[in-house]
Amino acid sequence: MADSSDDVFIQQINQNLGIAHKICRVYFSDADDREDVLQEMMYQLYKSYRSFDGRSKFSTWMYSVCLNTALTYRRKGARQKYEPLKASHNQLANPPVSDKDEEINLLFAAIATLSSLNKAIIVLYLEDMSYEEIAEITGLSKSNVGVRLVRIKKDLETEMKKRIKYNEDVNL
Amino acid sequence: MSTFEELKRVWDTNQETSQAYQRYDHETLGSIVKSRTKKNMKKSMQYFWGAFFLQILVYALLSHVIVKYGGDTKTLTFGIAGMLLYLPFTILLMKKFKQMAIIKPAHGNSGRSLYEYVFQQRALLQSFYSFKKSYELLLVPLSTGIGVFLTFKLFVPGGVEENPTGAIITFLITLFSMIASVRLENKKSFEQPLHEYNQLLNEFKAEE
Repeated sequence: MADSSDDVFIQQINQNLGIAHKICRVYFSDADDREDVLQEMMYQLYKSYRSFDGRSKFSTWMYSVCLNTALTYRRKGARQKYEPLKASHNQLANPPVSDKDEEINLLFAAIATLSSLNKAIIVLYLEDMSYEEIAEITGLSKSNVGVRLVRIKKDLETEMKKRIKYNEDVNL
Repeated sequence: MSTFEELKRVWDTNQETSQAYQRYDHETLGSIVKSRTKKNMKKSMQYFWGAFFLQILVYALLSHVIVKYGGDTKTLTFGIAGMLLYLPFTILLMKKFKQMAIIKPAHGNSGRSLYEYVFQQRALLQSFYSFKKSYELLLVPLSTGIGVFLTFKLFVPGGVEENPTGAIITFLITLFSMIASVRLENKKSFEQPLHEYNQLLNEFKAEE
Protein backbone atom coordinates (compact mmCIF):
# COMPACT_ATOMS: atom_id res chain seq x y z
CA MET A 1 0.00 0.00 0.00
CA ALA A 2 1.83 3.08 -1.20
CA ASP A 3 -0.21 5.01 -3.77
CA SER A 4 -1.51 8.57 -3.39
CA SER A 5 -4.97 7.54 -2.14
CA ASP A 6 -3.22 5.64 0.65
CA ASP A 7 -1.27 8.80 1.52
CA VAL A 8 -4.51 10.76 1.79
CA PHE A 9 -6.11 7.97 3.81
CA ILE A 10 -3.21 7.78 6.28
CA GLN A 11 -3.14 11.55 6.62
CA GLN A 12 -6.88 11.68 7.38
CA ILE A 13 -6.69 8.75 9.79
CA ASN A 14 -3.85 10.43 11.68
CA GLN A 15 -5.80 13.68 11.90
CA ASN A 16 -8.78 11.84 13.39
CA LEU A 17 -7.05 9.15 15.45
CA GLY A 18 -8.70 10.35 18.66
CA ILE A 19 -12.07 9.08 17.32
CA ALA A 20 -10.95 5.45 17.27
CA HIS A 21 -9.16 5.68 20.61
CA LYS A 22 -12.13 7.29 22.35
CA ILE A 23 -14.59 4.75 21.01
CA CYS A 24 -12.28 1.91 22.09
CA ARG A 25 -12.01 3.38 25.54
CA VAL A 26 -15.78 3.88 25.89
CA TYR A 27 -16.65 0.34 24.80
CA PHE A 28 -13.83 -1.82 26.14
CA SER A 29 -12.37 -1.88 29.61
CA ASP A 30 -9.86 -4.63 28.82
CA ALA A 31 -6.59 -3.33 27.36
CA ASP A 32 -6.12 -6.40 25.11
CA ASP A 33 -9.64 -6.02 23.71
CA ARG A 34 -8.95 -2.34 23.07
CA GLU A 35 -5.76 -3.04 21.17
CA ASP A 36 -7.41 -5.78 19.17
CA VAL A 37 -10.49 -3.73 18.31
CA LEU A 38 -8.35 -0.69 17.43
CA GLN A 39 -6.56 -2.79 14.82
CA GLU A 40 -9.88 -4.13 13.59
CA MET A 41 -11.11 -0.55 13.22
CA MET A 42 -8.04 0.42 11.18
CA TYR A 43 -8.57 -2.64 8.99
CA GLN A 44 -12.28 -1.90 8.49
CA LEU A 45 -11.51 1.75 7.72
CA TYR A 46 -8.88 0.77 5.15
CA LYS A 47 -11.19 -1.81 3.59
CA SER A 48 -14.16 0.56 3.40
CA TYR A 49 -12.23 3.65 2.29
CA ARG A 50 -12.81 2.89 -1.40
CA SER A 51 -16.55 3.27 -0.84
CA PHE A 52 -16.17 6.59 1.01
CA ASP A 53 -17.63 9.03 -1.50
CA GLY A 54 -16.90 12.25 0.40
CA ARG A 55 -20.56 13.25 0.71
CA SER A 56 -20.21 13.32 4.48
CA LYS A 57 -17.22 14.58 6.43
CA PHE A 58 -14.35 12.11 6.84
CA SER A 59 -14.76 12.30 10.63
CA THR A 60 -18.49 11.45 10.39
CA TRP A 61 -17.70 8.46 8.19
CA MET A 62 -14.91 7.40 10.56
CA TYR A 63 -17.25 7.58 13.58
CA SER A 64 -19.72 5.44 11.71
CA VAL A 65 -17.23 2.72 10.75
CA CYS A 66 -15.57 2.69 14.19
CA LEU A 67 -18.90 2.49 16.03
CA ASN A 68 -20.13 -0.29 13.72
CA THR A 69 -16.96 -2.21 14.48
CA ALA A 70 -17.15 -1.63 18.24
CA LEU A 71 -20.82 -2.59 18.47
CA THR A 72 -20.46 -5.84 16.57
CA TYR A 73 -17.04 -6.83 17.92
CA ARG A 74 -17.13 -10.13 19.72
CA ARG A 75 -14.87 -10.56 22.69
CA LYS A 76 -12.71 -13.64 22.49
CA GLY A 77 -12.68 -16.18 25.29
CA ALA A 78 -9.21 -17.30 24.33
CA ARG A 79 -6.96 -14.54 23.06
CA GLN A 80 -6.01 -14.66 19.44
CA LYS A 81 -2.70 -13.44 18.14
CA TYR A 82 -2.53 -10.00 16.65
CA GLU A 83 0.15 -7.80 15.23
CA PRO A 84 2.01 -6.09 18.09
CA LEU A 85 2.13 -2.30 17.70
CA LYS A 86 4.56 0.23 19.03
CA ALA A 87 3.92 0.86 22.74
CA SER A 88 2.77 4.40 22.06
CA HIS A 89 -0.15 3.13 19.95
CA ASN A 90 -1.81 1.90 23.08
CA GLN A 91 -1.88 4.93 25.35
CA LEU A 92 -5.25 4.15 26.82
CA ALA A 93 -5.03 2.70 30.27
CA ASN A 94 -2.49 4.84 32.03
CA PRO A 95 -3.15 5.21 35.76
CA PRO A 96 -4.40 8.64 36.83
CA VAL A 97 -1.53 11.00 37.44
CA SER A 98 -3.45 14.20 37.96
CA ASP A 99 -6.90 15.45 38.95
CA LYS A 100 -7.61 16.00 35.24
CA ASP A 101 -6.82 12.37 34.40
CA GLU A 102 -8.88 11.19 37.32
CA GLU A 103 -11.85 13.26 36.13
CA ILE A 104 -11.49 11.83 32.62
CA ASN A 105 -11.28 8.29 33.95
CA LEU A 106 -14.40 8.90 36.07
CA LEU A 107 -16.26 10.21 33.04
CA PHE A 108 -15.28 7.21 30.90
CA ALA A 109 -16.26 4.86 33.75
CA ALA A 110 -19.66 6.57 34.00
CA ILE A 111 -20.20 6.33 30.22
CA ALA A 112 -19.27 2.64 30.40
CA THR A 113 -22.38 2.02 32.54
CA LEU A 114 -24.67 3.08 29.66
CA SER A 115 -26.10 0.66 27.10
CA SER A 116 -24.22 0.15 23.80
CA LEU A 117 -26.46 2.44 21.78
CA ASN A 118 -26.58 5.16 24.43
CA LYS A 119 -22.79 5.11 24.60
CA ALA A 120 -22.66 5.82 20.86
CA ILE A 121 -25.17 8.67 21.18
CA ILE A 122 -23.39 10.39 24.06
CA VAL A 123 -19.95 10.08 22.45
CA LEU A 124 -21.25 11.69 19.26
CA TYR A 125 -22.99 14.41 21.27
CA LEU A 126 -19.88 15.14 23.34
CA GLU A 127 -17.97 15.39 20.06
CA ASP A 128 -20.24 18.31 19.14
CA MET A 129 -22.27 16.51 16.52
CA SER A 130 -25.72 17.85 15.70
CA TYR A 131 -28.90 15.84 16.28
CA GLU A 132 -29.12 15.33 12.51
CA GLU A 133 -25.61 13.89 12.32
CA ILE A 134 -26.23 11.62 15.32
CA ALA A 135 -29.48 10.44 13.72
CA GLU A 136 -27.67 9.77 10.43
CA ILE A 137 -24.90 7.76 12.07
CA THR A 138 -27.12 5.74 14.39
CA GLY A 139 -30.15 5.25 12.15
CA LEU A 140 -32.49 6.70 14.80
CA SER A 141 -34.91 9.54 14.14
CA LYS A 142 -33.88 13.06 15.16
CA SER A 143 -36.64 13.26 17.76
CA ASN A 144 -35.65 9.88 19.22
CA VAL A 145 -32.07 11.13 19.56
CA GLY A 146 -33.37 14.18 21.46
CA VAL A 147 -35.51 12.12 23.82
CA ARG A 148 -32.69 9.69 24.51
CA LEU A 149 -30.14 12.46 25.12
CA VAL A 150 -32.26 14.03 27.85
CA ARG A 151 -32.31 10.73 29.71
CA ILE A 152 -28.65 9.90 29.04
CA LYS A 153 -27.49 13.29 30.35
CA LYS A 154 -29.52 12.79 33.52
CA ASP A 155 -28.19 9.26 34.01
CA LEU A 156 -24.62 10.42 33.47
CA GLU A 157 -24.92 13.27 35.96
CA THR A 158 -26.35 10.91 38.59
CA GLU A 159 -23.65 8.31 37.92
CA MET A 160 -20.88 10.92 38.17
CA LYS A 161 -22.22 12.27 41.46
CA LYS A 162 -22.36 8.73 42.84
CA ARG A 163 -18.79 8.00 41.76
CA ILE A 164 -17.41 11.30 43.08
CA LYS A 165 -19.11 10.72 46.43
CA TYR A 166 -17.72 7.18 46.57
CA ASN A 167 -14.20 8.43 45.82
CA GLU A 168 -14.49 11.11 48.50
CA ASP A 169 -15.70 8.55 51.05
CA VAL A 170 -12.82 6.22 50.20
CA ASN A 171 -10.25 9.03 50.47
CA LEU A 172 -11.49 10.15 53.86
CA MET B 1 -18.64 18.11 38.83
CA SER B 2 -22.38 17.69 38.74
CA THR B 3 -23.83 19.33 35.66
CA PHE B 4 -23.60 18.10 32.13
CA GLU B 5 -21.70 21.25 31.11
CA GLU B 6 -18.95 20.21 33.51
CA LEU B 7 -18.87 16.72 32.03
CA LYS B 8 -18.55 18.27 28.58
CA ARG B 9 -15.62 20.35 29.84
CA VAL B 10 -13.90 17.19 31.08
CA TRP B 11 -14.48 15.53 27.72
CA ASP B 12 -13.04 18.50 25.85
CA THR B 13 -9.97 18.41 28.10
CA ASN B 14 -9.45 14.86 26.91
CA GLN B 15 -9.37 16.11 23.30
CA GLU B 16 -6.17 17.96 24.04
CA THR B 17 -4.38 14.90 25.35
CA SER B 18 -5.52 12.81 22.36
CA GLN B 19 -3.04 14.69 20.15
CA ALA B 20 -0.34 12.48 21.67
CA TYR B 21 -1.45 9.26 19.95
CA GLN B 22 1.14 7.59 17.80
CA ARG B 23 0.54 8.36 14.15
CA TYR B 24 0.22 5.58 11.60
CA ASP B 25 2.55 5.20 8.64
CA HIS B 26 2.48 2.95 5.55
CA GLU B 27 4.48 0.25 7.28
CA THR B 28 2.32 0.00 10.42
CA LEU B 29 -0.95 0.17 8.53
CA GLY B 30 0.33 -2.33 5.98
CA SER B 31 1.22 -4.83 8.67
CA ILE B 32 -2.22 -4.41 10.31
CA VAL B 33 -4.05 -4.92 7.01
CA LYS B 34 -1.93 -7.98 6.23
CA SER B 35 -2.38 -9.62 9.63
CA ARG B 36 -6.13 -8.84 9.79
CA THR B 37 -6.74 -10.19 6.30
CA LYS B 38 -4.91 -13.36 7.28
CA LYS B 39 -6.76 -13.61 10.58
CA ASN B 40 -10.22 -13.06 9.06
CA MET B 41 -9.53 -15.52 6.28
CA LYS B 42 -8.30 -18.09 8.80
CA LYS B 43 -11.41 -17.61 10.96
CA SER B 44 -13.74 -18.07 7.98
CA MET B 45 -11.83 -21.00 6.58
CA GLN B 46 -11.72 -22.77 9.95
CA TYR B 47 -15.47 -23.26 9.89
CA PHE B 48 -15.51 -23.96 6.18
CA TRP B 49 -12.90 -26.69 6.37
CA GLY B 50 -14.53 -28.20 9.49
CA ALA B 51 -17.82 -28.65 7.63
CA PHE B 52 -16.21 -29.54 4.33
CA PHE B 53 -13.79 -32.06 5.84
CA LEU B 54 -16.69 -33.91 7.49
CA GLN B 55 -18.41 -34.18 4.14
CA ILE B 56 -15.23 -35.35 2.41
CA LEU B 57 -14.90 -38.05 5.09
CA VAL B 58 -18.47 -39.18 4.49
CA TYR B 59 -17.94 -39.33 0.70
CA ALA B 60 -14.65 -41.20 1.13
CA LEU B 61 -16.17 -43.69 3.54
CA LEU B 62 -19.23 -44.30 1.39
CA SER B 63 -17.09 -44.63 -1.77
CA HIS B 64 -14.95 -47.20 0.02
CA VAL B 65 -18.06 -49.14 1.10
CA ILE B 66 -19.52 -49.03 -2.43
CA VAL B 67 -16.29 -50.17 -4.08
CA LYS B 68 -15.50 -52.90 -1.55
CA TYR B 69 -18.97 -54.24 -0.77
CA GLY B 70 -20.88 -53.04 -3.85
CA GLY B 71 -21.74 -56.64 -4.79
CA ASP B 72 -24.45 -56.62 -2.16
CA THR B 73 -27.50 -54.73 -3.45
CA LYS B 74 -28.61 -53.38 -0.06
CA THR B 75 -25.13 -52.08 0.80
CA LEU B 76 -24.82 -50.51 -2.64
CA THR B 77 -28.25 -48.86 -2.33
CA PHE B 78 -27.55 -47.41 1.12
CA GLY B 79 -24.07 -46.27 0.06
CA ILE B 80 -25.44 -44.44 -2.98
CA ALA B 81 -28.40 -43.09 -0.97
CA GLY B 82 -25.97 -41.64 1.59
CA MET B 83 -23.94 -39.93 -1.12
CA LEU B 84 -26.97 -38.54 -2.92
CA LEU B 85 -28.32 -37.29 0.39
CA TYR B 86 -25.15 -35.34 1.13
CA LEU B 87 -24.53 -33.94 -2.35
CA PRO B 88 -27.20 -31.18 -2.47
CA PHE B 89 -26.31 -30.14 1.06
CA THR B 90 -22.63 -29.86 0.19
CA ILE B 91 -23.48 -27.58 -2.73
CA LEU B 92 -25.92 -25.50 -0.65
CA LEU B 93 -23.45 -25.28 2.23
CA MET B 94 -20.77 -23.91 -0.08
CA LYS B 95 -23.16 -21.35 -1.58
CA LYS B 96 -24.50 -20.18 1.77
CA PHE B 97 -21.06 -20.04 3.26
CA LYS B 98 -19.76 -17.97 0.36
CA GLN B 99 -22.69 -15.60 0.83
CA MET B 100 -21.92 -15.19 4.53
CA ALA B 101 -18.13 -15.03 4.37
CA ILE B 102 -17.52 -12.82 1.34
CA ILE B 103 -19.15 -9.46 1.93
CA LYS B 104 -17.85 -6.90 -0.51
CA PRO B 105 -16.75 -3.60 1.09
CA ALA B 106 -19.57 -1.74 -0.63
CA HIS B 107 -22.04 -3.88 1.25
CA GLY B 108 -20.00 -4.25 4.40
CA ASN B 109 -18.84 -1.78 7.01
CA SER B 110 -18.88 1.27 4.75
CA GLY B 111 -20.44 3.99 6.79
CA ARG B 112 -23.95 2.57 7.05
CA SER B 113 -26.01 3.65 10.02
CA LEU B 114 -25.49 1.58 13.16
CA TYR B 115 -29.00 0.16 12.89
CA GLU B 116 -28.59 -0.89 9.24
CA TYR B 117 -25.20 -2.43 9.90
CA VAL B 118 -26.29 -4.45 12.95
CA PHE B 119 -29.49 -5.47 11.12
CA GLN B 120 -27.49 -6.66 8.10
CA GLN B 121 -25.04 -8.62 10.24
CA ARG B 122 -27.89 -10.27 12.14
CA ALA B 123 -29.75 -11.11 8.91
CA LEU B 124 -26.68 -12.76 7.38
CA LEU B 125 -25.98 -14.85 10.45
CA GLN B 126 -29.66 -15.72 10.91
CA SER B 127 -30.01 -16.83 7.30
CA PHE B 128 -26.99 -19.14 7.53
CA TYR B 129 -28.12 -20.49 10.92
CA SER B 130 -31.66 -21.22 9.69
CA PHE B 131 -30.24 -23.12 6.75
CA LYS B 132 -27.79 -24.97 9.01
CA LYS B 133 -30.57 -25.94 11.43
CA SER B 134 -32.82 -27.41 8.76
CA TYR B 135 -29.80 -29.13 7.24
CA GLU B 136 -28.96 -30.69 10.59
CA LEU B 137 -32.54 -31.65 11.36
CA LEU B 138 -32.73 -33.79 8.26
CA LEU B 139 -29.17 -34.89 7.77
CA VAL B 140 -28.11 -35.84 11.29
CA PRO B 141 -30.72 -38.60 11.89
CA LEU B 142 -30.59 -39.83 8.29
CA SER B 143 -26.83 -40.08 8.08
CA THR B 144 -26.69 -41.66 11.55
CA GLY B 145 -29.25 -44.24 10.40
CA ILE B 146 -27.32 -45.02 7.21
CA GLY B 147 -24.05 -45.20 9.16
CA VAL B 148 -25.48 -47.61 11.74
CA PHE B 149 -27.12 -49.75 9.05
CA LEU B 150 -23.89 -50.06 7.05
CA THR B 151 -21.75 -50.72 10.14
CA PHE B 152 -24.05 -53.54 11.28
CA LYS B 153 -24.37 -54.88 7.74
CA LEU B 154 -20.60 -55.07 7.24
CA PHE B 155 -19.23 -55.87 10.68
CA VAL B 156 -22.00 -57.51 12.78
CA PRO B 157 -23.11 -61.00 11.70
CA GLY B 158 -26.81 -60.90 10.87
CA GLY B 159 -26.83 -57.12 10.41
CA VAL B 160 -29.60 -54.85 11.68
CA GLU B 161 -32.28 -57.46 10.92
CA GLU B 162 -30.97 -59.92 13.50
CA ASN B 163 -29.73 -57.32 16.03
CA PRO B 164 -32.49 -54.71 16.18
CA THR B 165 -32.00 -53.80 19.87
CA GLY B 166 -28.24 -53.33 19.46
CA ALA B 167 -28.79 -51.29 16.30
CA ILE B 168 -31.38 -49.05 17.99
CA ILE B 169 -29.13 -48.49 21.03
CA THR B 170 -26.14 -47.67 18.76
CA PHE B 171 -28.33 -45.36 16.69
CA LEU B 172 -29.63 -43.52 19.78
CA ILE B 173 -26.20 -43.16 21.42
CA THR B 174 -24.70 -41.83 18.16
CA LEU B 175 -27.67 -39.54 17.55
CA PHE B 176 -27.59 -38.03 21.06
CA SER B 177 -23.81 -37.49 20.91
CA MET B 178 -24.21 -35.72 17.57
CA ILE B 179 -27.12 -33.61 18.84
CA ALA B 180 -25.13 -32.62 21.95
CA SER B 181 -22.09 -31.52 19.94
CA VAL B 182 -24.19 -29.70 17.34
CA ARG B 183 -26.14 -27.85 20.08
CA LEU B 184 -22.93 -26.82 21.81
CA GLU B 185 -21.50 -25.49 18.57
CA ASN B 186 -24.73 -23.70 17.63
CA LYS B 187 -24.96 -22.03 21.01
CA LYS B 188 -21.42 -20.69 20.81
CA SER B 189 -21.25 -19.74 17.16
CA PHE B 190 -24.83 -18.72 16.39
CA GLU B 191 -27.28 -18.41 19.30
CA GLN B 192 -25.09 -16.25 21.51
CA PRO B 193 -24.08 -13.81 18.74
CA LEU B 194 -27.68 -13.68 17.48
CA HIS B 195 -28.89 -12.94 21.00
CA GLU B 196 -26.39 -10.07 21.23
CA TYR B 197 -27.52 -8.68 17.86
CA ASN B 198 -31.18 -8.95 18.91
CA GLN B 199 -30.46 -7.15 22.17
CA LEU B 200 -28.82 -4.35 20.21
CA LEU B 201 -31.70 -4.11 17.75
CA ASN B 202 -34.23 -4.10 20.59
CA GLU B 203 -32.35 -1.17 22.05
CA PHE B 204 -32.98 0.76 18.84
CA LYS B 205 -36.70 0.03 19.06
CA ALA B 206 -36.98 0.67 22.81
CA GLU B 207 -37.92 4.34 22.70
CA GLU B 208 -39.49 4.65 19.27
